Amino acid sequence: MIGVGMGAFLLVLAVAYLVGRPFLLPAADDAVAAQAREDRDRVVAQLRDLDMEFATAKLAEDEYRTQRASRIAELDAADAVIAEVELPLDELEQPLDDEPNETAPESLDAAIEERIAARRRAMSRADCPQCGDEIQAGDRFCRSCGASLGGDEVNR
Amino acid sequence: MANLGSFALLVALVASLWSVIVGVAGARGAGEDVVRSAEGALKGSALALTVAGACLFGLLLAKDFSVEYVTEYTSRSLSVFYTLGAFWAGQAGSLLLWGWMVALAGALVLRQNRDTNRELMPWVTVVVGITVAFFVVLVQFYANPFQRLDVVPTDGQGLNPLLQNYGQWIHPVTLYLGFVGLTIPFAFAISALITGRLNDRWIRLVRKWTMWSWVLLTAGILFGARWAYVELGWGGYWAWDPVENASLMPWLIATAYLHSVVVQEKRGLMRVWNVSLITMAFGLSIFGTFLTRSGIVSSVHAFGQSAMGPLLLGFTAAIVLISTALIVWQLPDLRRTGRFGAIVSRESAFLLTNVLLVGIAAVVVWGSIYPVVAQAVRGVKASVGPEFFQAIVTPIAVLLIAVVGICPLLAWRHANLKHLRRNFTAPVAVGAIAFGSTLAVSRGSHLGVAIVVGLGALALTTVVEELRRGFRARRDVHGESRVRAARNLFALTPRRYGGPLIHAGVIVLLAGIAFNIAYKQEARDTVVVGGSTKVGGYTLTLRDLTTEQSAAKFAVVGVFGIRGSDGADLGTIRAEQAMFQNDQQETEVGIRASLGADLYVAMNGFDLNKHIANVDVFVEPAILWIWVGMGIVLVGGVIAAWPRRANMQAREVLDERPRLTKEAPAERARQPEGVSS
Repeated sequence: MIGVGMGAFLLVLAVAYLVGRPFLLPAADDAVAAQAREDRDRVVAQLRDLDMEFATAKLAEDEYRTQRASRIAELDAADAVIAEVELPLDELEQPLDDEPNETAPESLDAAIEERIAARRRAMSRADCPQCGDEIQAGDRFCRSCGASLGGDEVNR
Repeated sequence: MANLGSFALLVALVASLWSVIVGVAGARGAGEDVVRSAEGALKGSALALTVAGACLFGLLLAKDFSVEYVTEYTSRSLSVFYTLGAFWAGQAGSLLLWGWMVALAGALVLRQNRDTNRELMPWVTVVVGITVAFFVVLVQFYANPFQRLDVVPTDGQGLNPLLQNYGQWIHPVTLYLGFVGLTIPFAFAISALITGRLNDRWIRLVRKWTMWSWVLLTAGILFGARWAYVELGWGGYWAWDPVENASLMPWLIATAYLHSVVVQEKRGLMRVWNVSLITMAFGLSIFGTFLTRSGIVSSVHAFGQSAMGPLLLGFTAAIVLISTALIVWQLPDLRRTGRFGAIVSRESAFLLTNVLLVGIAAVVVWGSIYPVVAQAVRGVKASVGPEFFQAIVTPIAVLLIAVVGICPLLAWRHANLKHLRRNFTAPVAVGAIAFGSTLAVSRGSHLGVAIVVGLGALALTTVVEELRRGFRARRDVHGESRVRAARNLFALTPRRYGGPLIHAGVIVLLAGIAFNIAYKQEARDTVVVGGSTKVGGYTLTLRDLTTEQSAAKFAVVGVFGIRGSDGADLGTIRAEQAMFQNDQQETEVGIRASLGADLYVAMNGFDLNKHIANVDVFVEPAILWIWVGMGIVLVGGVIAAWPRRANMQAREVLDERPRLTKEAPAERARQPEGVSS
């Protein structure tokens, strides 16, 4: 009976912790970089699939070019986000390890926050002039219809 | 332990309701901490249900007969393997398993998306939370496995002998997991509809979930068929029983969905269709549960009369109504300006596949509910036999084989007809030869089989060609060795090349079914010890009729010697009739399997004094093909569903790519076939 009581108590405690924690300890916000990394993985897989599709004659060449260019643009956008969010952190942390500085962490945090906020503003919704589907800043081609959005054609 | 289990159910109910109510608040903009709390509650319900599940396992293992469920489905003599498998032998335990797995799936998907796709997650949490709460309510108030008995019996009633098969650990579990898996894509679809994020992101996010659900559903159905074949003693593997149909309906729709999402991913089309399909697949999994568990239809899987019918029907209705309303509401955004390709194009072939699969599903749904409808509307008892299903499903299945054969040869938007003709020559020739020779060998007696074999051979040729072309493309484009190219084909583009494997398996399986239906032979006879009976060229001699007594059962065993048509000795078969302590009887079938045909012996009666046995003997052609096809399908499915390696290097796709005509005019001759330039 005591065992059951203990078990029940522990269960309630654990569930209460899961439910209450977000209010007490806000989670670290890694959403922007994580999203970009996931996007990047997804686009790489799409590109790989696209290449096979073209190589096995499932796709006409003009179609392949358009789609590949828009995927590359997506890849660039994701890379840009990853670079902005991650690299400065690595670079800036180096000197911090060497000479501890009381004020630096705050300004570092503020700088990162600012970058994230800027990226978020940039990623807010916009529409493709041709098909009206959602596009993101940094896209050089529409993800849906492949229409050029004014950037230079990418050739890598 | 039963008390702890009951308490854990209560905690799970509260937590899942929290995840729904707080989740709605979070989704409507109450803040990230509120959303996270709802997610925490869903994880909490998964934890609580894990505790409840562990309690039930513990009670079964301890054979605590003060608990009704344990008494009903186990006994002292039952082995540990089946004692644990008794968890899902009854209504209460299987519903607990379902709810538990939904909660775990929810926790897993939240973990996967803890930093990503945050805009979709609140509503995903709500939908999964509702589903968990629904199942916990069923378990808590309608079928509680922790219910105690007033009088504690000394022994349990034991597990139904039919369930004492290794299949008890595969068939129910994989089916439930398949149904559970469908919850996740459904939740994402609903979330996409509500938030208006209707591009193909949600589809890509749930791709692996859908694929795994499909693999598990497929495994569940096929292992169920195999179980029925080896255990039930009627010589078949599929009876179009309402409960079998209940698993087939969501499978067909999920199969259609897996195909049509490709069109959305590649061409941005069929968006309304895809959200409708995933809703239907999930709705049908719940509707199937209603058919199975309300006691409304009679079936081998009878769970008995229960009061939860209206609840299940209500849940199905809610799923359909709410989803339909959301789809209609989002219709302007779902409709796209994209153009569908030419009549001979890849997207047309995908569309045709979809129409055929949904057509079969509609037939199956109608055939399954017709008896209920007829009873309600005209007050007559009607039943729909296998003939109805076979008559309609067969031609559609044959058409599907044809589409499988043609589709890989088509390009998106518009197929290049000149290349199409060239690519078609080999498969059509192989198909024609297969058709002609089958017809010749069978002396024209079974046209249907010849058609299936011909189309199957055509389709298999294109499947092989598809794999060969992919293999060659990897060698050409990336300069890979043979071994590397073969491995990377499946490792790096799993769905693209897992798919053809699945198709090959399906073709082998369908050919097996066609042969089996056409050439099956059966005989029913009464044989004296020393006497024999003949069926389909085989001679069976009853050599011995003995008895075996063990702690769990008393069995009468017939040993039959077999001779082929040429008189060759083909060994012996043991068929058994067993009586268990609790007076349940079971026929243990004797099977001699071979590539050509199985010999299947079921002893349905005996007289030990007169030394005679009543036997049903079946010659079952090509049964092995069905199981081999099943194996291929599952291997292909697992390949297609295997998780993608994280953080893949992009170098390969950026540096090495197929040659373009404009860049390398000199290479024009090596340009892949079929590309219109």
